[in-house]
Amino acid sequence: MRRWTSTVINIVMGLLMAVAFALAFFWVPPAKEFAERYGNGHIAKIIFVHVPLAIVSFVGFIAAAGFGLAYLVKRNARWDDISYALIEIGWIYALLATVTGAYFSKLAWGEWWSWDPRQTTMLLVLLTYTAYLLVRGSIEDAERKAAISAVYAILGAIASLFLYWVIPYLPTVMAASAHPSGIIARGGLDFSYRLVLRLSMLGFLLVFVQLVRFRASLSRLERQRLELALKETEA
Amino acid sequence: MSEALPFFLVWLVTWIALMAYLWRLESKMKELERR
Repeated sequence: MRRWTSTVINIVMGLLMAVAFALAFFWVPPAKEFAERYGNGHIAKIIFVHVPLAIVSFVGFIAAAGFGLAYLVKRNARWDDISYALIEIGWIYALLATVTGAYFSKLAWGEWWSWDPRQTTMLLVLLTYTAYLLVRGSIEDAERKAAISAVYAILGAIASLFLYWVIPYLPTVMAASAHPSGIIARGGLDFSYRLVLRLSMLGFLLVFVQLVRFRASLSRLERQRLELALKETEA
Repeated sequence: MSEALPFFLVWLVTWIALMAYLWRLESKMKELERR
């Protein structure tokens, strides 16, 4: 059943990504407002990769807090495996969102990094979860590691909520930011952009789900091997 | 077409990064199974 589900998700995921890329590359026209502002309307298409990466990473961090809480309540190591997988892959997605954002910055404003409020908040998200990965890696005792990771995942999710959705939308911060999210928010991109963005969002979400499933299975296998090795040593 | 190159590059680099991560997970899994 699990294998069958996985195969179906892989097929849907592959199709979605192929269709989204083909539509974005061959069908979606260059965005007028981006062409006027930055001289190349095609760079608006970067949102088909950048926006899903950023949003799915946020969803992953929030879900990780949920599984962390489940671990603290039930003390089932399986929840810790999933919480950790969500954060590790969420971190990769956030890193890729930062890199693709920096490339957009280079194309639009001529510099890779300009300490725009959006770039700064994303960097803080990355640093928050880099610290999580380092803290987790430094603890040897499995139960202590899982409990501290769970508490960190919950606190990290609260911080993420502010860094993704509160601070960037404060009026003073928005006024200081050159981030083009305002163009998208006020409907400055036509139907083709909204359609392909949704397809791409779903595609990147399914890739995320599959990677998390794989990472969590690997953690479970690692844990089982370790427990077996400990039993053998005790015997 | 060259104007669409940045989007193509972003897409390509993202996929290479995700596939490299998947490849790393798979080699870890194989190593665990081998042990």
